[in-house]
Amino acid sequence: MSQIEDLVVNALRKEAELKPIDRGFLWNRNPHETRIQFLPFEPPVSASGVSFGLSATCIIETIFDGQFTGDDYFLARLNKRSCWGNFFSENQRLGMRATYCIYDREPAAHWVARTLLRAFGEQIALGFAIAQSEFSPNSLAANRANLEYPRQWAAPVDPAIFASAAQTFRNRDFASASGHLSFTVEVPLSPGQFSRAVQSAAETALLCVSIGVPHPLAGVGYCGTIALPFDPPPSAIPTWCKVLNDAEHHLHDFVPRIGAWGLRSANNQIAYTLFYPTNEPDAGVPSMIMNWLVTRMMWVRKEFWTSGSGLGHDEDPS
Amino acid sequence: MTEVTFAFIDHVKNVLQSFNLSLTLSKEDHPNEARLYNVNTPDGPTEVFVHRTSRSLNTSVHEYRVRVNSHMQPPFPSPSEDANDTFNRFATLASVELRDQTVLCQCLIPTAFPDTTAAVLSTAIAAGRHSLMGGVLNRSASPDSDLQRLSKWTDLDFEQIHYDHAHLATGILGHRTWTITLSQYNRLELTAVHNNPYWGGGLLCLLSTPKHSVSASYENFSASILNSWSNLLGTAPTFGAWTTDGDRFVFIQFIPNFLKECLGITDLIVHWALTRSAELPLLVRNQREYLLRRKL
Repeated sequence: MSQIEDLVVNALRKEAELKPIDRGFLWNRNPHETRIQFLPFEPPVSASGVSFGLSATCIIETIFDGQFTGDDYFLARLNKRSCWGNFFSENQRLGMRATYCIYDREPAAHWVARTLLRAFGEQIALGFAIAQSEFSPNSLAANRANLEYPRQWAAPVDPAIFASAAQTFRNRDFASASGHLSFTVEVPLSPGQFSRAVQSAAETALLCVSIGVPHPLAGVGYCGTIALPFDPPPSAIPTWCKVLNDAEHHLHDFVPRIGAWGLRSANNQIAYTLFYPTNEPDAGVPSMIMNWLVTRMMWVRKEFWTSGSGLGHDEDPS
Repeated sequence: MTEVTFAFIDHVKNVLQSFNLSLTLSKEDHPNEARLYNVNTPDGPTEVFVHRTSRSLNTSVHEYRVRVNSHMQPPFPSPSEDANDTFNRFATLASVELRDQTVLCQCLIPTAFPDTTAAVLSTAIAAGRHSLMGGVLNRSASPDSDLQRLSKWTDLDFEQIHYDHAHLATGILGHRTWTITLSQYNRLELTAVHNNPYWGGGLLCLLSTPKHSVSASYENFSASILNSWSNLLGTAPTFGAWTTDGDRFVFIQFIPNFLKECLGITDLIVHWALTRSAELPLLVRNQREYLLRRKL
């Protein structure tokens, strides 16, 4: 058992409300249900020297009560504001799922354990509030008041962390810029493309991590986004969101999947959003989230992107 | 015409009924897939022209445009471009062209949020001219007579706009206002205002760009030129008008309170601004080509 699993299990063992299951717990908050479970991973013999020792994948999944009749389009709209995972539908039930690879030699084991515990504890209430507010926009203010997430940072955030983070990515040959509240990185999606700032039509994905974008329901925190240089046809975007969200969860060794690909703007843009609600500044988190976004975008580039035409422009993503 | 087009026209008819107005078919041209409708608004007749776009005629894409043309009642003198600029500062959902004595707007029939676009178009048909001229007259008569009705757009609405468009660029969230730089030069500013001279409360949407980013100073292009070309072939709806503010061109648009209930209205406003921002170079290029052809 990894240190992370040990920390999580020990924290949850004391809770009488939880039902133990194989390497995890079930939380039945009638009529909704959440589970946290560590699924074992048998690593193949690796020839590479450096490894953090992937030992398991932690899955945190909520199934909401009631019949869900929404389609992929509605799910994609929901996912633009999802937090602690992505919305999905199975057997006419709405659900929310986050997955997180657990490494034996994770250098930030306590931080990861706390993140998993928070996702487990908050997925039902926040997920329900996000979904209800999308179904009924007038309920947003009430849900926001009910959840009471902090709307101010507990301490000022030093803008220098963004300048320093941007420099780190420039050192890695990415175009990167910083501001007082955010920094951006561009991932080239076609050979010879570098930055939209130099060439407005450059085929690059724009990645941004910001502390100045509060979530309408989850308060302040770190907001990471990925915007593609051009989008698939609007009719294909809901399917692309589903394909990408599902495909991420099936990856064995990947960055945390606690955000979602969703449908934005006038139903014509696909964007990835990861929101980490917190009011406690941590100088290392913006760079860490950006690393996750860069890795995610490299994966999209390798598996799905066609230079010049984007996400399989004329193909059926399913 | 397509089913989508007829559904859109039906929705316009329904919304116009809430203004006690009706859309009456006056002419139909089958071969060119065009229809002319009349609307008798209290301040004079308005023509609504629905037609297939010329660029889609020989393609499999069925693209239709709706044009609204209202003659100014009564006619105003001094048809200069400067006067256009002054008048268009009071634009809400249409632009004025004093030379032709008309108030104009247009939109392509969209696939995303068609009902919302139809509601905005209907409001432009019903009150585009009246709100613009009413704003001019009201302001000239007495600045104290401004309407004061609280905008329905709250801080919570702006926070949602800020979050939902965070992927585009770094926006700035203020007290009942939100600003974002869409490209190197173009700045979109949405502000809740309560004193529009005609409507009172609503959302003021300003897209501004430095004149030098659009054209060279020797070209001396005016905002009227941008209005003409965007009304003629714009992809973004021209619910509003280009005008001038110092060394910047500004597209001014005002969405009255009652349209806030329309699904996706703020998403559409940002989308329109993005489209408008992207098509600015095209509008200018058209003017340059037009001038070149005239010279030749």
